[in-house]
Amino acid sequence: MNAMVSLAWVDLKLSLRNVIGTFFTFVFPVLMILLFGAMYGNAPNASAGGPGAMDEAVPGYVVALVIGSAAFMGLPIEIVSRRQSGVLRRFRLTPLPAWAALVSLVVVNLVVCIGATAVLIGTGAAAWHTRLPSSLLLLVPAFLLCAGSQFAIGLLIASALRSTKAALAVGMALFYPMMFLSGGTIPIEYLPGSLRAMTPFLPMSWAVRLLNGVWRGSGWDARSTGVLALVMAVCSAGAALLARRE
Amino acid sequence: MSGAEIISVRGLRKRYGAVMALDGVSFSVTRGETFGIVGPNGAGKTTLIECLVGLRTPDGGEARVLGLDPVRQGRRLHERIGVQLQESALPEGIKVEEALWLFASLYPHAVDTRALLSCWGLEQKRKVRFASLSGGQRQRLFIALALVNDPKVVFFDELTAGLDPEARHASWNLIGELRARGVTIVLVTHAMEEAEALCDRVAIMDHGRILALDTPGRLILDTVGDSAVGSRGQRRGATLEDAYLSMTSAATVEWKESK
Repeated sequence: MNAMVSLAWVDLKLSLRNVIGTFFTFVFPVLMILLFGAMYGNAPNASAGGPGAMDEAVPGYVVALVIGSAAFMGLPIEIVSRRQSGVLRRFRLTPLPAWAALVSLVVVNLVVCIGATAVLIGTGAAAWHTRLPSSLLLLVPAFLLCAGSQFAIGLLIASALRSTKAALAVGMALFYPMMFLSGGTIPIEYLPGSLRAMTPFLPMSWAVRLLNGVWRGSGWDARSTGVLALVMAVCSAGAALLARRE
Repeated sequence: MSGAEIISVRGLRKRYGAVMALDGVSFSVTRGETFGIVGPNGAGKTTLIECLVGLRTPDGGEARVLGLDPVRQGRRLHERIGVQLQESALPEGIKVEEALWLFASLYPHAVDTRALLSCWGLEQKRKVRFASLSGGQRQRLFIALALVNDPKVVFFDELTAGLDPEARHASWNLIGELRARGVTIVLVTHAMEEAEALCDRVAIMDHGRILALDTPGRLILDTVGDSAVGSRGQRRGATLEDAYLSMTSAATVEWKESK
């Protein structure tokens, strides 16, 4: 256990030392909320007391920018590059079990996402008085399910691909369309019908839906829960199977 | 248990596609011995080491290190052995002292990492990231990491590759110190003078087999006698390199003929 904590501690320091990763999870979402807040403001919607544009944006950014960049870029690229360069091989010569190196990276990415979410909420509240999530009790499991399901996709990418370049290409090919089409950064209602028809097929859109509901206090969305749980189960099983084949 | 078998290998086989990387390798290493493995590139040396430390599962035969099955009892084995391998790396951003601290904390018993730092001339590089280290500095760090758990058996694959003469001599002194403490050492090397000077016994490998296994002195005597012809045609004292060359080139000729 002690060994696991030491590894995660070092991995956390390494993660924060990584300038590109830190920019995408911590800085980029904050820049977005400041930029779009300056453009659209956060005035309540027509229906009295309804949420403003930035109130709507915060949970979407948490999924599409914070969790998304960790799940589709940070996590798979770090795993593949460690496998490719021989870091995982070196760790396998220590008493650590084979899964420990991956679990440490997953936990560290989760911790980084929680930190970045707190920074985003704080910035939104300070700059545009965005609303805080309505229920912390529901927020925690919703956040974990959102992160867990997207991380599972990242783990599948990591076990399927051998080279860092391939992981980067596939990660970006999944991340960028989902960032714009999942409702996380652009409200789904703004999309033309043909693009809107695609959203149910994007795993990220269900995470946006679940977190949005919990954030606004409109309740826990059962359908999203089912889809995300399925994505998480299938992708982590696939990742484990591919890893075992080695 | 003095004089006991620390490593025993029987009929070890490993195939990659059409290539027999290990084709029935058998030997044993006793406590405190320094055992050398030499051979041309592709002879199967690295595969053999990888099977002994549990990184690869052999197709057939049996390997035991400290009485443990390297694949099924890997964790217990890894607590007791030290390994420096080719093709391994550390995360780019990790600092030298962090790496030593981390690896020390992965073992139930670890040595003083500050002593290792100064022993390997890495004190000045304590705060330097792995990505910024030179090849020789990385090699020294890997050697230090292999010794962090005070191992009973140490495996070195190309110990002195990429080291400058000072570090090479430091490594040879280290082998002497480890020997004096009764540590069993397995040394894979291309440097014949290194194998001749450091090893109690040497196995010459080619095409996945052990061609010969004996003390350096007897290997030389059996294959080339006590003198050899130098590169300028002069007679000189025979070396392990002469024995090695006569044996591996004979094997190559045989192999070509059989094709």
